[in-house]
Amino acid sequence: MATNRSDAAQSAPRPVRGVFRWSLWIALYLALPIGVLWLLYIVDQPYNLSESYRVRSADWIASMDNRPPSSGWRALGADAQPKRDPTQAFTSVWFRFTIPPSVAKPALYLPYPNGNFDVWVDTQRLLQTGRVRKPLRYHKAPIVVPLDAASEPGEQYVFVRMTRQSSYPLINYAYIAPVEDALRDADEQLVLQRDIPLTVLAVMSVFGGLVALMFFFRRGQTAYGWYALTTALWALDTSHALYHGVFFHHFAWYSLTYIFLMWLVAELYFVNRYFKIPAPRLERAITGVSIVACVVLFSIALLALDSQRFERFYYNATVPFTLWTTVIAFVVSSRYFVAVRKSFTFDSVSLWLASGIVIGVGIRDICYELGIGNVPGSVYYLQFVAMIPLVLFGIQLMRRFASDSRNAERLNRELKQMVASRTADLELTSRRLTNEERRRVLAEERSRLMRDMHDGLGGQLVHALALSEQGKDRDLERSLRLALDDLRLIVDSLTPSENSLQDLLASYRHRVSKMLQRSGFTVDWILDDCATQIALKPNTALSILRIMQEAVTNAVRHSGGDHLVIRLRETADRLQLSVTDNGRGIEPGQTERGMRNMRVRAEEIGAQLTITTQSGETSIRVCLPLDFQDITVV
Amino acid sequence: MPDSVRVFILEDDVPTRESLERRLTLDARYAVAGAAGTLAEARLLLQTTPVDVLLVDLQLPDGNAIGLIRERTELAPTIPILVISVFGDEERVIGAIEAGARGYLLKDDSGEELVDSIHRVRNGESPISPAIARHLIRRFQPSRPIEPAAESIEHALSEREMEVLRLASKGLTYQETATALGVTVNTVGTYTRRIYTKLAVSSRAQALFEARQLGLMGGDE
Repeated sequence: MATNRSDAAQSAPRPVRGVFRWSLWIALYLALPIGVLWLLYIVDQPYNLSESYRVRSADWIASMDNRPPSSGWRALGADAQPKRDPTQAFTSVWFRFTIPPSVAKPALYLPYPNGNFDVWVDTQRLLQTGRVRKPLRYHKAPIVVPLDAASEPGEQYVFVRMTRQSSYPLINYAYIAPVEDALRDADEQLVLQRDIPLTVLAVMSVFGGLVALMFFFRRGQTAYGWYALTTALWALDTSHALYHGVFFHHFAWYSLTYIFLMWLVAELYFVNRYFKIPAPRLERAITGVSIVACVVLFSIALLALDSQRFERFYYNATVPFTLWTTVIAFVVSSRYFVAVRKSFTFDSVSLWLASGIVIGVGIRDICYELGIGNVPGSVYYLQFVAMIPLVLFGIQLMRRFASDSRNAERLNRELKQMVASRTADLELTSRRLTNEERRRVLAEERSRLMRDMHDGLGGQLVHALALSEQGKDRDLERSLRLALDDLRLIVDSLTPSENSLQDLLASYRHRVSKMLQRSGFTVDWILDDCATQIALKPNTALSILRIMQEAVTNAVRHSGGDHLVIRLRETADRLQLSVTDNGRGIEPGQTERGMRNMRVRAEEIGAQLTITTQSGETSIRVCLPLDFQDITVV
Repeated sequence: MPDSVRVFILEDDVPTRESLERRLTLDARYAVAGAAGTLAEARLLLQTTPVDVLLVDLQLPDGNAIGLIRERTELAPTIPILVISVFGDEERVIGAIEAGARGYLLKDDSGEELVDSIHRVRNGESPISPAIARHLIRRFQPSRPIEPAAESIEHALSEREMEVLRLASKGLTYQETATALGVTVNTVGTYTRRIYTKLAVSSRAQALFEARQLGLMGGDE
């Protein structure tokens, strides 16, 4: 609210300031083309050469002769000018200039030779450009012909034959000047007629090439493609200013101009979209008319390869075409103006001012073409000046490409960061989960140990307590020894370094050996090397050890034998442990509790317990399927 | 009794101590020269009591017995010291052996085993359990970066000694080891004795080396 009010308060003096500002800008808009034209006029000064050297009078004769005619000359005047011969494909006219004796080292100088020339002095040919019967090879560079033959005193003539294909031959500008002066002026003319077009060609090629490259990287941006195509056409058209008769009929070159109507229309679309000032009806109207005009003009131009008919058509079409082009140019310029009013930025202002320059120069070119007023200069400027908005366009596109690339890079970077942070998150989660898992395993292990201690050791100790109360010392000692033995196994199975079966068995073997020896037993330990390398989870290891201990103890106590075979081997995916004695075998009902214990322990770890017994051999076999669940990392 | 072996017992748990004494006195060849429950008591008694064998519990009310073992080894290297241990206590036993102890016995050993252990130690044999053997194998692995090169060669185990350790680590008895190596039981005992000596010497060298390192560091300051 507050801001609105302050806006309203400030809005009072604004129109005045606004009008002032806009008048300034519009003045600039009008002044710029004038400035540019003035600049071009300064550059385009073919009259450095003293006007006194200009040929003011000449004789002429329309003739197809290949040598200067000897008679029939008439003076060139307003009512006596060469006409085009409609019966011929080209018109040939001989001119005759007097060489002033005051000029030392004279040379014939033709700054704008727009036809084929044949230059003679007396009976000597000094120069011929192009073949007479095929007068299409325009000699665009200025012609300087030193008239050495004219060194003899007396009145001398220079004969110039001019042939033109599409128009009547007339030499507007001819000089007979000292050869040095003529050459210097010709050099300046070359800048205008050759160097500037070359520059345009180079700039167009560079911009077109760069944008074409951009288009290659971003196929989706059709604007780049259109721009590249447009500049290519423009460059092609400009090359026409340098060389004629390249590739195809030069009328087709002229016809290319019609295509540029569409370029202007495209510019209209560009403005409306780039500055977000939609005008669909205007666009449709302009596009419709332009497409029809373009198609009709271009196809007629291409079909009418007959030079005379084309010429007639071309000249008749020029005025409406130029007028329509001017209309579109004004429309585009006005759209730029709307854009400037909408957003006063470098983009909009520069393009608007450039459009003003193009329109100004275009009007000048029309006047030059139609001979309205005495327009100074020597060439059409539009094709050079129109380069300005095209270059500005190119710069905008490149800037857009650069900012797009920057954005893409930034997005890429952000994406990378996002991926990195997500990865970190995932790692954290995974670590947390791993810790969780470890904690869970630890808790499981702990609870197993507690249960084990409670059931085994606890029971044993309670049993021992009862025995001590009863005073049964021998039983008490036995019970306590059993408890100790079990505690040893628990400690063995839990010792972290002793994770392979080999280590676990070693401790047990070391302990039991003395006892077995005392009991008069001999033992064969048959341990498969592979099997001893297996590492089991503590609880699995403990169960295996307990079963083994129980089996050995039973054998020693009850079998009545004197030899044990303890065998450990690995078959396929099973671990097999067997304890075999040479005793009398297990009688039914005997040591049932021990057997039950072994079975329970085997079941707990998913192993199979097999007992085969007969007199002379009792074997207790545990078969443990080797599941990766049971095996810890070795 | 001049012919009997005079045994001194350092053990703070009275029933254990008495049990040991009882088991020893049952054998005519042995006599209990003295018994103590603390380090201070033991030091005092040992000054005046002539003994042939020392049985030492490691954890005592007034400290760890390692220091005492080291002192006694310096003072009377010929008098063997045995550590009274419980199972699963190999780390401490190794520490004691490094300090100079020649063997260990388990608290729950029967009288027979006890007498056997003392007898063997006096004969120059040292007992070795698989867990201790594993510790020693690790200890004498050639790739110990901090050990000074010259001394490590001097105190390195021979191939035979290493083989004894390897078999012991698999739980083989002396007899089995002897059979496997094609030597007598006595020879195996000598091997183990030598291994223990090397361990003690190498650990002294290690201590010396470390002390020298510390000294050097002190000199720099």
